[in-house]
Amino acid sequence: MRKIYWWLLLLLLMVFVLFPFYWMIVSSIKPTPDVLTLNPTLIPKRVTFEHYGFSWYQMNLGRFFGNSFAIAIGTTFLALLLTTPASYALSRIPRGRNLALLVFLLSYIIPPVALLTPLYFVMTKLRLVDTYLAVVLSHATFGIPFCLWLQTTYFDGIPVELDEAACTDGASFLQTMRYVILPVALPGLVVSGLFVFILSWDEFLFAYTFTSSDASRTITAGLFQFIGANIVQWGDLMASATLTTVPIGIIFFLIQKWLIEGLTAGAVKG
Amino acid sequence: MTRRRSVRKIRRGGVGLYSPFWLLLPASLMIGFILVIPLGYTVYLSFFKENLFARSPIFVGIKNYGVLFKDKIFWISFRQSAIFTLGSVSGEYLLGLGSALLLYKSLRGQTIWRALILFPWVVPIIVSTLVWKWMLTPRYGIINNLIVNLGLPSKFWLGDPKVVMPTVIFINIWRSFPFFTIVILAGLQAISLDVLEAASIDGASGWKKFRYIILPHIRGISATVVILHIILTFGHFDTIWFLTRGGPSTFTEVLPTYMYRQAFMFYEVGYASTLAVWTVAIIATITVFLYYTFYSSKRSR
Repeated sequence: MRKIYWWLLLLLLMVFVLFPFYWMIVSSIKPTPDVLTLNPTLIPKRVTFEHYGFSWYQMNLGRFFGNSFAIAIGTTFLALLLTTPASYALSRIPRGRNLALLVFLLSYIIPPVALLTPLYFVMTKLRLVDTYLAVVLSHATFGIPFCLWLQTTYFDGIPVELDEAACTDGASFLQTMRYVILPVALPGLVVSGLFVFILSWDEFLFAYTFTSSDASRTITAGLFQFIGANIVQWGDLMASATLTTVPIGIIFFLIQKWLIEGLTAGAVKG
Repeated sequence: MTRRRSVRKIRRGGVGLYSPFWLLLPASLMIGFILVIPLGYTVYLSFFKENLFARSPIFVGIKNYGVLFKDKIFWISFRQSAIFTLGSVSGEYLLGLGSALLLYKSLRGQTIWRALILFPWVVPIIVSTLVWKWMLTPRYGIINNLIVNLGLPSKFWLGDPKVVMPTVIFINIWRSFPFFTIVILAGLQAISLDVLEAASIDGASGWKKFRYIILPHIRGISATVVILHIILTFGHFDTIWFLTRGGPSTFTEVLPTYMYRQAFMFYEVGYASTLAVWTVAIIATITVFLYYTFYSSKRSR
């Protein structure tokens, strides 16, 4: 009997957490008169996809989508390229592992907005403003510490005996990496890489500041423009918001199990 | 011990070039380039009177820091940053703890609920704030609609100075509490069931089990996640900027939004850097203080 109360509470919690997304989708498929009304219905009476067409073509969302994809993929590869050897080393060094991790994690105490001005000067000096590379480089500020943190735990899970066995069999360092360690570590690397993709896709402040034209503007920066323009076409805005959420929604639900395990493993131990 | 031996072996195998130093170098250089150097540059800029449109920056020493102490809006932002952070993190913790206990109780489908709860946390903040803005719209928003149908007066949630800060905090809690849920839940799952069972056999009530077994067990992760979120929330910019841009007037202005306004709307780069240095210093102090408090109290136990 008491079980029912727990389930009711859980239902309440789920409504609280998910209702905004339900409302976002519902508002995006209602025709405008049904959106801007004093008697909105929870279930749409009429369904239309005109808002999606409008936001994809008129609001140039397609272009922003492409930019965001390119930047997120770039960020993912840059982060993985730099952090895979580093986190392997951190998990294998005899001393200073936690200290080194702490130093990298200290970067979290610097709010991104505090780095904005100096990074803007750096990007201007390097003539990178309004390029993908500027955004990719700035996204490494959070991508690298995050990947190091997650991947060091993954590499800890790979027994050192594996390295030793390869070594005694005469494998060189690169061979050990290529044929022994990386295949075992691959799932972990993929999960952390995909999560960096999400982080990069979601990021706004750097993306907005270091881009100045539609040629490189990301989806989050693009959406922000529409808020600024005082548009009250909520149907179109909700369609754009839904489209922005789809790619990361898919990635998130594919990796959620491993992601949550990775995220909590570090916290529970620490 | 085994770890140390293996490192030596790898070195002896004639691959000295791949010592941990070289493996760590690229990532460290990158962090130095995009984090440490800009941070140093911020400190440097904070000693200048520099406007992006003025010809050349003028060295003013620590004058900016004096200006800051007399700047009313700085103090308002500081106070509101503290309110925003304390309100958000305490709400997130309570809601996170409650929902974690709930998920822990209702065992079936735990992984699905856990993933669904975490969803607001991975969605771009611009998306979630946009949806909340739409729901809170004065005339057509669903929330006012509901309130009016219940016979209560509608509210201008993001425009009324009296309710705007609680509203912003509420939305921030909604977005961030899921992280608390999954971390605390992981902590709960690490508690051995034998201990809880033994307590039940000894006749411990639900509350006593919670107070004397569960709470002490999740103390460590609670501290970790709370400290982390105090740091992140104090420097958080996006939610407030998207919802209110610090307004109405300065009623939701916090240090990050004020810093951004000075740098990118007034182009007062020098002064903005001073604000940045202060903010980082405040966060660092809080971090060290909390870390020390938590770990020294843990040792004395």
